[in-house]
Amino acid sequence: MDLASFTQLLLSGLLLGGIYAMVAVGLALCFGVLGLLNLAHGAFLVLAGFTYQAIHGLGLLGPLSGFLLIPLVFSGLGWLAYRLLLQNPLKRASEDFLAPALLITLGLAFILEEGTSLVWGRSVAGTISPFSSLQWGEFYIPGNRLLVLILMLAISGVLQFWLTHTDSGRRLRALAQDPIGATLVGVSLVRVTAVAFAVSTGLAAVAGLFYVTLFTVSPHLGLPLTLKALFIIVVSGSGSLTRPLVGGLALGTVETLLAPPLGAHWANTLTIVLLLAFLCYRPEGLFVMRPSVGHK
Amino acid sequence: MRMPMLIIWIVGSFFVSLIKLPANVHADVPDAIRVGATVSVSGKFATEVGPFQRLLKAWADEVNRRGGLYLKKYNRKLPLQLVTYDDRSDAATARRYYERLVTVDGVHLLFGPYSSPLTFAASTASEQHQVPFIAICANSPKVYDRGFKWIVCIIDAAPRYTYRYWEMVQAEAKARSVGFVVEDTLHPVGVYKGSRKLAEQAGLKVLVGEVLPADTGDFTPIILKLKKLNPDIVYVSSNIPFAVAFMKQAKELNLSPREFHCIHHSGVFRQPLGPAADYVLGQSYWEPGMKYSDPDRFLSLLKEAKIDLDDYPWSPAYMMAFEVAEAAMNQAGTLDPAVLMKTMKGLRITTLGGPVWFADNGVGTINTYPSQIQHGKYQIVWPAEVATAKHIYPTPAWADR
Repeated sequence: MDLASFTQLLLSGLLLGGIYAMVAVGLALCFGVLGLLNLAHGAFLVLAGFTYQAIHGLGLLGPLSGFLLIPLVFSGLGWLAYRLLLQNPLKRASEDFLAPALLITLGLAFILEEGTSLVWGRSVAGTISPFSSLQWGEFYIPGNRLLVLILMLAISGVLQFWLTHTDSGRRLRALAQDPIGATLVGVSLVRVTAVAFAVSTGLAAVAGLFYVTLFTVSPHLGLPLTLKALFIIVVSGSGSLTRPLVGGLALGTVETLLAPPLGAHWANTLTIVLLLAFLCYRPEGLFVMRPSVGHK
Repeated sequence: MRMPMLIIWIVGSFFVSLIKLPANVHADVPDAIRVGATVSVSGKFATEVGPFQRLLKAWADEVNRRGGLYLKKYNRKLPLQLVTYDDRSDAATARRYYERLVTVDGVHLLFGPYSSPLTFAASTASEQHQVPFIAICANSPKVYDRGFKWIVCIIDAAPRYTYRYWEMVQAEAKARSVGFVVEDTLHPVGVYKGSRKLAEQAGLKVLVGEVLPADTGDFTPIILKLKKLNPDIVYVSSNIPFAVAFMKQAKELNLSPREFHCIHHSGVFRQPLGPAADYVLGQSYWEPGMKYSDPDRFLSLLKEAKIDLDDYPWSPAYMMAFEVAEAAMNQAGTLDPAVLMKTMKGLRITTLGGPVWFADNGVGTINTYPSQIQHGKYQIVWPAEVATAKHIYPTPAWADR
């Protein structure tokens, strides 16, 4: 491989990582911070993609208003889904959100997938990006991918600031660290987790809007995307909302750079091997410092 | 009993039996022609074939409005009675329902489910119980290499799926090389294997043939390879989501061959790409303007079933299956399965997509025509007797559009 090809691959890999990170960041908010694994995350993303294509196709909204309005609507949907489906079971579970959330959101994922398939009745949604590619010498930088990366940097920063510098963010982290203790000091489990779920669903919608312009979405793509996001969270480590960005960039670059020498099939297989290796030997993630164990 | 009395008794019995014969025949006349099928109303194929339940119904309703189909043996027209189930896009479910269609519902004729894997499973039921089975959208050779006697398929085998395109390329003698990008699933790989041979036979140099996973998101590595090798034709053998993602990235990275060929380029391909889909070649079973059989009847059935041809470009194959079923029953004049199957195997008729007959293994002759998207419309560009427009070659570079 010559230097020019390597550079183009590296650029493409990094830019691909941006969209991977965008898919993962919403899930990281729920799972990484709160311990609530939302398996319907990808299904919300797909639904947002189909909604955008439909609205865009009918000429009801321009790209900018669509990109602002749809995530807001999906945040509302997320809030509603939480209040209707998750609130009571999670209250009963009190400490361990994982198992009930897993079952409920898996059911929700199937309902959303079949609903999307039924309403749209077509196998694929996708739109052409409104941004043209930037040419830099012999290299091409797709405008929409660059925008995703820049936006992802901004989203990560804003979310991290929210978690660490605002009252509602602190309440969320308190709940994540010790649900019973946090509830005893007055943190509302229902309100805080509902807000987190709504923000997470809104982020899934943002990812869906970009995903549909970069690639295509089909009704049954939701669960594979959720698994990819989960992989990024496992590799990069939970607890921080800037880590999915690093994990996403790493995954995108590794996938793209490994494809030419190994073949695309092996690049995917290697990804799964890496996931298993991380789960076995470094479950806390790549970018989390291990607690030092001193000898007494 | 004396001899004359015995003779009288035998002769008398003979005449009595003759008198009773029509009554017996009458008792054997079925009340309807029962046609069975499964449609993937749910599951992964639902978006590709779900509405075809309406198409089947529209066909049956239309035939029944005319009083049904005339069968000579019963000297009357019999109505069509459809029995359909949702196979949930699952091979095991399809197999179970075809077993039920034969053993419980007592169908006389079966239409196959969507896709080769489902047809592979479902056709074992018809073979076991010896009921004629018309496969429609299932052209993997694996389905027909099992020596089954009770199956015919409307369309030609997957390796020949684009043979008319290569005929055109050879006849035009403009393109010299080709690069293949292939989705690693049964049908696209089958088409690729056949197309690669056909391309070589047409005198083209195959510069690359890369098989990629179906869920490939980033095509940068193969696009860079193609830019370096610079083939005249970039041939994408895949399902639509794969092809759309590839074309988007080809545009983003300025890959400009002289021709893009995406084997499936229906409305679901064209709409997301918009003007970027222009000049792309693909394959069509039928487009308005073709004159075979009765296009008005087909368009009327599509209208009744509320199906858009651009979104469901394989719907003409269903129409051809209806035409084959009607012709076979008309010529056989009976619902006797052996006679019906034998008639079907010997059938030679002109359907909506052209002449059809079946090889010994059941594979049919209907094949696709190369069609090009020109200003958002599909135009058949080869052969001349069927073409609705001229082939535009080379494709303008992205910067010049």
